[in-house]
Amino acid sequence: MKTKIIFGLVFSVLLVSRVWAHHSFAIYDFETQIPFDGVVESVKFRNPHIALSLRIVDETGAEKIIEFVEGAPANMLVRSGLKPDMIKPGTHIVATGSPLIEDTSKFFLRTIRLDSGEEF
Amino acid sequence: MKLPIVVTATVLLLSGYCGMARAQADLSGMWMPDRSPEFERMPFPRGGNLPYTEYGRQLQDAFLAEFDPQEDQPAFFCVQPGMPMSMSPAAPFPLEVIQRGHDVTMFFEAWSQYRKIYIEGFDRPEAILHTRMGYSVGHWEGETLVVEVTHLAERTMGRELVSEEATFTERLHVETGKDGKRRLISDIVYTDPVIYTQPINVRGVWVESPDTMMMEYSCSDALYDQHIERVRQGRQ
Repeated sequence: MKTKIIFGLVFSVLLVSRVWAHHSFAIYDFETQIPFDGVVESVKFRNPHIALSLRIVDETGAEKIIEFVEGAPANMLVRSGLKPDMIKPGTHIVATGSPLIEDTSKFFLRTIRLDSGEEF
Repeated sequence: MKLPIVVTATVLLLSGYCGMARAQADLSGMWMPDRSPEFERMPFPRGGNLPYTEYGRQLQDAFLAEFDPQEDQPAFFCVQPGMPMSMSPAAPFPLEVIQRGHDVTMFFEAWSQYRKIYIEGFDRPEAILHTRMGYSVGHWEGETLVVEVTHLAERTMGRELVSEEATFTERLHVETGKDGKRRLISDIVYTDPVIYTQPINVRGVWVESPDTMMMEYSCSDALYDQHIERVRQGRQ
């Protein structure tokens, strides 16, 4: 819970500042947050943004890949307690994303929840 | 008779070399941008109704006419913000300060920036190039390190404009907050007669964070990936 609060507070500041961002967050619909339950397909744990792809099973039973093209900086996530091996490929997570306005198949990674219950 | 003279001379020599006896404050440590309401932060202003000269206004208007002020910021493309912007950042990346008698070294995790402040009275290299971090020379006034910064690199794109005539005076000191934690405070008076008609005040506040680990920050990988993708698409 403490981690979530800390991450939430810091992320709120960053949403205002956008200094570390690769670009403005205005290209995302931050009012919308969609949870996806799936398995990590690939992850780039780096700065200025991590990127992650998630394999999910959609409502029709078909597998599809959800692309989280950006998220928080790797350094910030490490300081919040998330380490790369905690979301390595093959890991089950629930990832919440906000869609890219021009291409709603791509998302900004807002939160990650592990099977342990930890949320980042 | 000779021994006391030798000892005294040795002590004086060591004191002069180390210089710490003259420094009234210790700026060393790991620091994080402070968010407490007790200390007011003033970031370098980014565009808007600033006291531009005619030239400064022309530069800003030209940028805004052709580019998106949000999407086309140099920092978004891994261009280091430099000084004085990096002394008052918004993002939570640490600053490590290593203070010796003859210099102060700063490492900013954000964009992996490096800054050296040379202390007056000691040998220092000649200022040659204009750089994003500039050339800093400081002297102690009591417990405050007063730094004069010159040789800043020109910036004509984005919302934070800088000419090669820009200089600033920075006063660095340490205060203890109500929470008992030390704060490193940077008060800057920034002057750029080419871009602005009057000085601009900037204030950075950093809180001690000894358990924070400095990490590498490399933001160019994503840019290279984009370049590779463009090359591949061009070949299709």
